[in-house]
Amino acid sequence: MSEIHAIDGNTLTEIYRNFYLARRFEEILSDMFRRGEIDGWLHSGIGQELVGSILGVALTSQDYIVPYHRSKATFLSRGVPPHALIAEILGRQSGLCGGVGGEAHAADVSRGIFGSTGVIGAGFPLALGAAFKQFYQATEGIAVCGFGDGATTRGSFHECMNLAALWNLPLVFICENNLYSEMTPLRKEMKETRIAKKADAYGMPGVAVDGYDLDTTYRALQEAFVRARSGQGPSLVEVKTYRWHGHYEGDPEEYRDKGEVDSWQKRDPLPVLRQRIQDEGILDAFNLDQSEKDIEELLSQAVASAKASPFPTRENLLINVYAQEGSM
Amino acid sequence: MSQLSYRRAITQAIDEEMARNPDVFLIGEDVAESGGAFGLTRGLLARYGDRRVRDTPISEEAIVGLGVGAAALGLRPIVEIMFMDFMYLAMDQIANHAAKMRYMYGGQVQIPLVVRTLSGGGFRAGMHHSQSLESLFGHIPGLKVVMPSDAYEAKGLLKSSIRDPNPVIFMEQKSLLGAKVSVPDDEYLIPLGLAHVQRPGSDVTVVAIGIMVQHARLAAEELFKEGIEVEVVDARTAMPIDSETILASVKKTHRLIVAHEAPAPFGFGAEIAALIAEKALYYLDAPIIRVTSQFTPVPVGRSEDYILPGAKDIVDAVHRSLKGG
Ligand SMILES: Cc1ncc(C[n+]2csc(CCOP(=O)(O)OP(=O)(O)O)c2C)c(N)n1
Repeated sequence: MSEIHAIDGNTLTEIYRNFYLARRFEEILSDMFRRGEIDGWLHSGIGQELVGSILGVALTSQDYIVPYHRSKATFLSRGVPPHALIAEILGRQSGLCGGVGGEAHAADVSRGIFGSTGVIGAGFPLALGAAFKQFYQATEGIAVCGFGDGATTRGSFHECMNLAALWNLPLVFICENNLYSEMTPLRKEMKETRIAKKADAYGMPGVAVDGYDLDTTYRALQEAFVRARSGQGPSLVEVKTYRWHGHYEGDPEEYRDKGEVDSWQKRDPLPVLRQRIQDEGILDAFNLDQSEKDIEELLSQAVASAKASPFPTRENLLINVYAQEGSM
Repeated sequence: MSQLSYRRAITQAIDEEMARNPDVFLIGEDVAESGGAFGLTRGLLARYGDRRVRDTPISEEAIVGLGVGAAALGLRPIVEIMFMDFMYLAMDQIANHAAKMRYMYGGQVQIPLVVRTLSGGGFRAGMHHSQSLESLFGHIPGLKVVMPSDAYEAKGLLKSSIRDPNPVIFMEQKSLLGAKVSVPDDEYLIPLGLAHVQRPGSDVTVVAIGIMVQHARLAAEELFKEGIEVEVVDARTAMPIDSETILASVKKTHRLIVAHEAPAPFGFGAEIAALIAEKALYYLDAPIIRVTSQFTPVPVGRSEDYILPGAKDIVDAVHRSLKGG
């Protein structure tokens, strides 16, 4: 296996930028939801932005991602313009999917992101399809499937873990284990709560990492990507993480205590990374401030532009049920 | 009588049936400790304990199948599938097993299973949380499909569903959860397979199901101001279909609108139209009109309002019917 090097300064800066963008994106959306500016639901990924922030730097443009359902960070780090993602969440015409898909069903196939779904566990087979395509066309690319702990109790998890291993497909399963499935705690979801360990049963490597520690998370993901890319097949990475908000915005959160939330918030990897970038002399405080200001600017423009976009027209709501010959 | 919300009507029906029959149990995602993702089963864990009220992992096929197996052997399972859209994950257990097992085993078993599930629009949450799939299940011999149109209906129909010896797909209308109506304090049941003339009228029949009954009532009130008397028939169950009540109404009014939230092709409306074509064609003074959603997935957000049908669509359909189609 090729050596995974320590994370260089540029990469650290890029991860920080992705992370900061994703964090502010989550905060702004949460505020918008509270003000009643978003129809339907919002499932915040706040507290869980690190994995998505890494994916943007660790994958290539050839790779496919079936995103973990909370991970706005995956979209943003992959270069999706924030205004297009916000507009989609607001159900506006200028959204990624023309405003019909919304939060749970956003995709940007041009950036290799597809397979998002409102059906937990439906992403596994779709990711299998993406990995099979890479194999079939003998590309350099791989596929990545993000999901939560709860999704591993679907039958589709078993079927896809088995088939990915059996066919040695270039697929990396990334479980963001945030200790809850809606209101149900992990210990009530499954008897064996060490999710990474399940990989053994399928004949693939499985590793569990602290998702609030950048270096171990980055290394584990890179190792899995290198492995898939070099034809050694799939692996499972379990990232232990935590969502700071409820299952959905407005969730009364009767099922967990505030102390648990606080203990994770205290370990927030975002300021740690910022400090590290300064300490290692990669960027000084002035430059960091500047880059954060740029992101704020980008986001406020994105919100304004998304809000200015109209809702889909009636005609547009009726198209795309069937494809026409030559429509792609 | 007391004012009761649709949500509490469901809770009460389950509660009463669990108190009545120790074989009735309830399983589903977040049904126990948190009292349901939308509060429909609140208090039941405290009352009946975790042998009878159990949280499950996200394992739709397993929990529905568990219900089928336990029902075949004499228990009375109520399985909650959080959203009807996830019924597809349990389709093999429902369609190949729950529906067929009695027949294929030559009558040795019965499957007194209720699968409760939230259906239809109302949360503006898009295509994976908004479907009404009654016609899919109505098409499968062996299943019953219930769509209660208000809290009174929900309570009486759920109690009958739990007592029914057959697998019942019980579609709770998510946009009605908070809506209150007055409900008798004493126990009552509503039999499955009996439609209900919700509002009598002589000019046009509107056969509606589920949430569309509420839209039909509003439409009828609106049209009454114009001097048009609409008869609203609440079909209550998509299977079995109460052809007698529907035929009697059409023979009286000579005009028929069918309203449901699912798309038109192969839908409940098509079935009712076929019934009239077969049994009462010459009673019609105008073509039958179906009021349904557009033939698309349900988009997210307020775009849903355009795709799904409402009271105004029924008013328009009645006007068209009176003009002769
Ligand atoms: C098949 C299916 N069943 C149930 C749900 C309802 N639901 C939405 S998210 C969720 C919990 C998912 O938990 P997990 O996979 O751990 O991800 P998390 O939400 O914790 O990030 C559930 C049960 C669903 N969307 N799909």
